[in-house]
Amino acid sequence: MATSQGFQKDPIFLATTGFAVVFAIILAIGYAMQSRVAESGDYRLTTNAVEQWLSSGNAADARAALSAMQKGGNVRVADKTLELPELNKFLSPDSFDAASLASSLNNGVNDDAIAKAKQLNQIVSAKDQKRKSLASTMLIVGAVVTLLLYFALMIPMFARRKGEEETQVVTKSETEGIMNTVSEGLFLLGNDHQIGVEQSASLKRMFKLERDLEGDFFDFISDYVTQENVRVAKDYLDLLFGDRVKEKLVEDLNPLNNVEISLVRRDGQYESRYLDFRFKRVMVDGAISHLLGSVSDVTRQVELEKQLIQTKEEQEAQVDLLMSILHIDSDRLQTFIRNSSETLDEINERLSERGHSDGQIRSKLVDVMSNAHRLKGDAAALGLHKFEFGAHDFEEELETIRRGESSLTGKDLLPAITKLRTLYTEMDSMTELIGKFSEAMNAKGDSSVKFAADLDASIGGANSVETEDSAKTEDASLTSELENLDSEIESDLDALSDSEIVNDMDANIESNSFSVDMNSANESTAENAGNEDANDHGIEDSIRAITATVGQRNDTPVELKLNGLGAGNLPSELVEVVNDSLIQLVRNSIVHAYEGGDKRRSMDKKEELSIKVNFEQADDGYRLIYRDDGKGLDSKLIAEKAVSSKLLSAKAAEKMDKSKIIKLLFHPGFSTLDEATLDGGRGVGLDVVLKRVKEHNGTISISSGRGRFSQFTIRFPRSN
Amino acid sequence: MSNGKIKFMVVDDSEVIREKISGVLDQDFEIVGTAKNGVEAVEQFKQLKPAILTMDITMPIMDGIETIEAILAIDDSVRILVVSALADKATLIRAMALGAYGFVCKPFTDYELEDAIEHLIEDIR
Repeated sequence: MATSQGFQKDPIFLATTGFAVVFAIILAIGYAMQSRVAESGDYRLTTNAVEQWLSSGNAADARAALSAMQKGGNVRVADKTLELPELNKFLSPDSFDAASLASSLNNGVNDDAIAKAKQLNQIVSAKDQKRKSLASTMLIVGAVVTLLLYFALMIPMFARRKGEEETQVVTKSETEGIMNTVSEGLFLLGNDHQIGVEQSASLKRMFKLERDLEGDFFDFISDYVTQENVRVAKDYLDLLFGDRVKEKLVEDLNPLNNVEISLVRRDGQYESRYLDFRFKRVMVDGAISHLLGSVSDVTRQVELEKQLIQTKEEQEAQVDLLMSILHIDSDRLQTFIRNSSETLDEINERLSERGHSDGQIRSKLVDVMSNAHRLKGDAAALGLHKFEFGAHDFEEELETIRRGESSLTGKDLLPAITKLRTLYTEMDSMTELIGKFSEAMNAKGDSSVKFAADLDASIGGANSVETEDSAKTEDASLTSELENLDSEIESDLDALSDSEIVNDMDANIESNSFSVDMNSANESTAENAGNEDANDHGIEDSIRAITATVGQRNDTPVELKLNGLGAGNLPSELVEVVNDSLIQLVRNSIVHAYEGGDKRRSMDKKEELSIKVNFEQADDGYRLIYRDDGKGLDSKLIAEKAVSSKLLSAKAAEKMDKSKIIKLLFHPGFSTLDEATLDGGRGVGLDVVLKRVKEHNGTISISSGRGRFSQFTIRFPRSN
Repeated sequence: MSNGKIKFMVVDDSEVIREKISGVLDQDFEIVGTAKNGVEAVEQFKQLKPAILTMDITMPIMDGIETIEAILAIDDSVRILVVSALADKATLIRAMALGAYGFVCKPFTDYELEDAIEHLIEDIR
C-alpha cells in the first residue's frame, strides 16, 4: 500500500510526523517552562540561604547581603545577585521589603528579621512549588494528549494496515490460484530478454520441465525451435520493445505463432507439438516496462486443420472417382470390376504363399507383375485414373523388390502386400460408390444394370439439340405425336368451303346479332363478371364477359355473335368443354389474329374483330363452329416459331407439309408470340383444348384463309 | 493537409489491389497518387508528400525495403503501411525496424484494411 501511494502519502508516516510535531511543541513549551522554573528555583535558593544565615547567625554574609540591599536593593548570595525589582515582580502581588529586613537586622531585631526572612522564603517556595507543579502538570498532560492522539490516529491506521495486509494475502493467494491453474503459459519478458520470476505453472509443463524457466528467453527457446525462428523472433520482440510501432499493426508478423517444437517424452521418444507464442506490451506510467508472453498449446487445432484438409481432398477424390465412373458403360464397368477383383485375389494368394526359395519368389513376382500390368491397362482404358495410378505404384513396388540384389525371402514381399491392400480399398470404394448410386437410380424406377447407359443418354440428349442425330430424334417424336393427332384432326386449307360455312352461320345468327362495344363492355361485364356459373344461359354471359375483358386488355374491339349456347340447346355434359374451348379460342383470336384497326380498314374490313360462334345439333352429334375474321393461320409463321422455340429443327420444318405445321398449334409449349403476355404466349391453350375435346371423344377441324379468317370446328359424338 | 483531408498514396504493382485499397478509404482521405513500382513511388512521393502510404514489399525494379529506406530518407514523418503476403516474415520485420509503421497481411478484407488504417492515424485524426 505504501509504495503504491508514494512515500509521502503513507498515513503512518503522516501520523508519526504529526506526533513528532506535537512532541516538538511540547519540548518548546517545556523549554519555556524550564527558564521560569529555573528562575523560581534561583529565588528559592536565595531566600533559603537568607533564612539559613539569618537563622544560623552568619553575620558576615548577613552584613554583605545587608549592604547590598541598602545600596541598590539587591541581595547577593554566593555568586548570585538577586535583583530586588525582579524579586518583587516574582513575588507580586506580595513584595519583599528589603529595607525593613535590613533595618531589622541593623537594629539587631534578629527574630523579626528571621521571621520576615522565613515568610519570604515561604512565599517564594510556594511560588516555586506552584511553578514546578504547573510545569510537570503541563508536561504530563501534554504527554498524555500526545499519546492519546497518537493512538487515536494509529490504531485505526494499523487496523487498516492489517486489513490491507489481509487483502493482500487474499489477493496474493487468488493470484497464485490463477497462476497455478491457467492453461496458458504466462511469463514476463524484460528489455534484457530475461524471463521474469513470476510464471504460470503450466509454462514449464508445456516444455515438460520440472522447474520454472529462467534466464535469457532466446537461449531457452533455441533448444526447441530453429535458429531461423530465433533470429526472426529477436527482431520481432525488439520491435515490440521499441515504442514506435503499434502493437496491433504488427500482430501478423509474429514468427512464433503456431511454431512446431520437438519435445522428449519420458520414455525417450520425440514428440512433435505446436505452440503459439503471443506477446503484449505491459505499460507502466505510460512507458513499456515488460512484454507479457502467453504460450498456448495449439497442437489439436493444427491437427484438426490438417484433418480437414485431408477430408476435403478425400471428398474431392471421391467426386473425381464418381465422375470417371459415370462416363463408363455399365456393362464394361461391371466386367472390369469382376475381372479386377478376381485378379486382385489371385495376386493376393500368390503373394501370401509361404516358404519359397529366392528363385520361386522371383518367378512369382514376374507373374504378379504381369497381372498388375494388365489391371493397369484395363483401368487406363476405362479412364479410372486413380486405380490406374494405384496399379502403377504396385507394379513399381514389385519391380523395386525384384531388382534387389540379395536373396529374396517372403518378408521382402511385405511392402507389396501393403500396396495391394490400397488397391483393394480403392476397388471397395468404387463398388460402394456404384452400389449407392444404383440404389438411388433404383429408387427412381430405373434398373441398376441400365443406369450408366441411361445416364449417358440423358446427359448427352439434354445438351445437344443442335446436332443432327438428336434433332432427328426430336423431330421423329414430334412427328409421331402429330400423326396421332391426325386421326382426330382434318385439315382443310382451301378457302373453297368457306363461303358455304359463312353463309350458313350468317343465316342462323342474324336474328341474334350482338355487338360488343368497348365502352359498354365495361358496364355489362361488371354485372356478369361474377357469374361464373355456366349452367343457365350463363355460358353466353361468361363468353361475352371474357371477350370484353380480353378485348379491353389488348385494345381490341370485338364484335361477338353467339348462337345456340342456351341451356336448352347445349347439353349439360358439354357445357364445361365448350366454355373452356371458347375462352381459349377467343383469347387466341384477340391476341394473335387481330391485325389492328388501320390494317383492317385498308383491307376493307370493319375495325372490330368479328367473332362468330354457332352451336348446333347434327345427325352424329353436336357441332361447335368458331370463326374469326382476323389474319388467319400462317403456316410459315408457325413453322418459324416452332424452330425458334426449339420444338423443331429448321430442316424438319422445311420438309414438313402445311397441314402438319398447322397441327403444331396444338403442341404444348408452342406460341406465336415472342413474349408471354397474360393472355397470349406460353403456348398453353390449344393443347388443353385438344385434350378436353378428346376426353369427350371429340374432333377438331381447322380451316383458314390467309388474311381473311380462321375457323375451328369441334365435333362431339352423341353420348348414349 | 490543406483541405483537412489526409493525403494518401497507394503503392502496389497490382491494379486490382490498388483499386481495392482506394475503395476502402472514406472521405477523410484524399488519394493523391498511386505507383506501381519503387522508383515511381519515390518520384511521386517527392512531389506529392502524402502523410500515409501503403506499400507492397514484392514489387519489380526496386524492392520494397529499398523503397521504404529511400522514402523515409526524404521525409521520415510519413506513415508507411506495409501490405504484403506473409511469405517472408523476416523481411517484413526488417521493414518495420527500418521505420514502417504497420503491416496488413494479404489477402485482406476491407474491414481489416479499414481497421489498420484507423490504428495508423489514431493520434493524428
